[in-house]
Amino acid sequence: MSTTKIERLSKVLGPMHIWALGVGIVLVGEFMGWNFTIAKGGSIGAIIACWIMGLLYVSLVMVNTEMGSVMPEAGGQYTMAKYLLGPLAAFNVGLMLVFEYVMLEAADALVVGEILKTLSPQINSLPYIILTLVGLTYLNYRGVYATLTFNFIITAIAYVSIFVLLFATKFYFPSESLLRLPELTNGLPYGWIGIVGAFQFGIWFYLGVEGTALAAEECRSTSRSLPVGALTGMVTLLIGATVTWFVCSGLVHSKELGSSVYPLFDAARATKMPFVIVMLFIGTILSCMASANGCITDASRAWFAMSRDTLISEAFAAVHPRYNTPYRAIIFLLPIAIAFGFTGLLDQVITFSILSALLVYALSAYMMFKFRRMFPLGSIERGYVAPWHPLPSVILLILTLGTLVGMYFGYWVNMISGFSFYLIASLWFVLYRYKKVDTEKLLSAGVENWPRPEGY
Amino acid sequence: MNFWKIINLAAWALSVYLLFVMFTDFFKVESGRKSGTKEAGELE
Repeated sequence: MSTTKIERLSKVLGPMHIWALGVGIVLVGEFMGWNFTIAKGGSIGAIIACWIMGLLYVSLVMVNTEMGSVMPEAGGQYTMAKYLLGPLAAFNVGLMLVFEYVMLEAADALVVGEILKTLSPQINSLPYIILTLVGLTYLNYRGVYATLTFNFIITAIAYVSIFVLLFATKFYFPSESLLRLPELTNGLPYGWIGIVGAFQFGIWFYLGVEGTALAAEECRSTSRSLPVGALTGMVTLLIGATVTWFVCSGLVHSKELGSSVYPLFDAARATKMPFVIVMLFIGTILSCMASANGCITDASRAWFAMSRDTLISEAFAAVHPRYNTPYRAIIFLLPIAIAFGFTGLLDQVITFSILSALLVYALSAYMMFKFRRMFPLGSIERGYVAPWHPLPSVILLILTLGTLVGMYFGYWVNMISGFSFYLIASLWFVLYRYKKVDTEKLLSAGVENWPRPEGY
Repeated sequence: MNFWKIINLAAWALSVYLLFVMFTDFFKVESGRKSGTKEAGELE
């Protein structure tokens, strides 16, 4: 029997914080990135891709929430993988989560620096990139409650700014409306194949919302906070995504919108209303900060959970005595995010982040099948039961594979590099690290709480 | 020195200050753990 004390994080979060974590990470995708769907699939292709990807993410949130609500441990999909797939898959899923969020965090900070540069050519973006990363890391270091309360406030302001833009167009009075959808949209220029091509950018509307499950251990009531926070977050994003498409397509010509860097900000400039322009400028910066903030929270929880389970060095498993945060994991990931930020290769950084996320989604669909087989309904208490199983898992798997195929046509070199990276990491784990894994520590929490799974 | 240069310098200064505060606390906690005065964590 091990005599090691297991480090636990404090339980302080409610549904509001889970909403702030999920929506905060994602909302930046509505301020930039999604509009490349228009270049790939046209205006109508973009909104169809937005809704189809919404279906993928609703399925993912349902699947994750059912599994996450019975596993109140930090790590989200990593924790699910360790119980359902074993140490090697768990190591890979953990690594994918860490890279998904650290790279997204670096990209967010890069964008904050770039946006501020538009204020004056004399602004140097580097100190603001560093300040964003250091400031948010310090906030995370000091405590998860303050971190996610702050995230709630800035996410809410950024979200409201989209609606300020919407109502400024007076869309509700057809005679006075600034929206000119029939003139500015271009329909479906590349047919159905354009929609498949648009999938890889359509996921920007929702990428990262699955991160809600990583804070499961810190919820006061995981079985309540996780389903309420994650599902309301998903509804928020579906509404926000549709409004974003509607207002941008009605204000900016599809040719310009398809290549815009800041589509919502460009749409605000098209209104020529100073207040709206300032609001969207602030909204864009706050959405980037909220995303980076949530990414630090999620990446550090995944790294901490892997360390606590002995899949990587146990040095990162320490909890701060006063703030109850995984402080070593938080500090360790800071220079890695800064290093990715220094590369300046925004598209490469984002592509690796998306690839890592898609691999986790495919594994999540498979894990859900296994979860229902190992623990059928009624065998353990669930905080949430995903309806119509196995439909959500099938939809999730098909759409994830479809998006990977779409991604292959544009970024096949990145995909092969990504797969090679995870293959080398797996070899390191099998040949070197596996013999140091303490299986008792790895599975102890589940073994204590659950009955023996069926077939084991 | 113009306004934006001062703001750039202020951003650098704030970053360095936050790093200093964070690492001061970090090393305090680490030395506490080594000397056994920690409140939580570490191997028993």
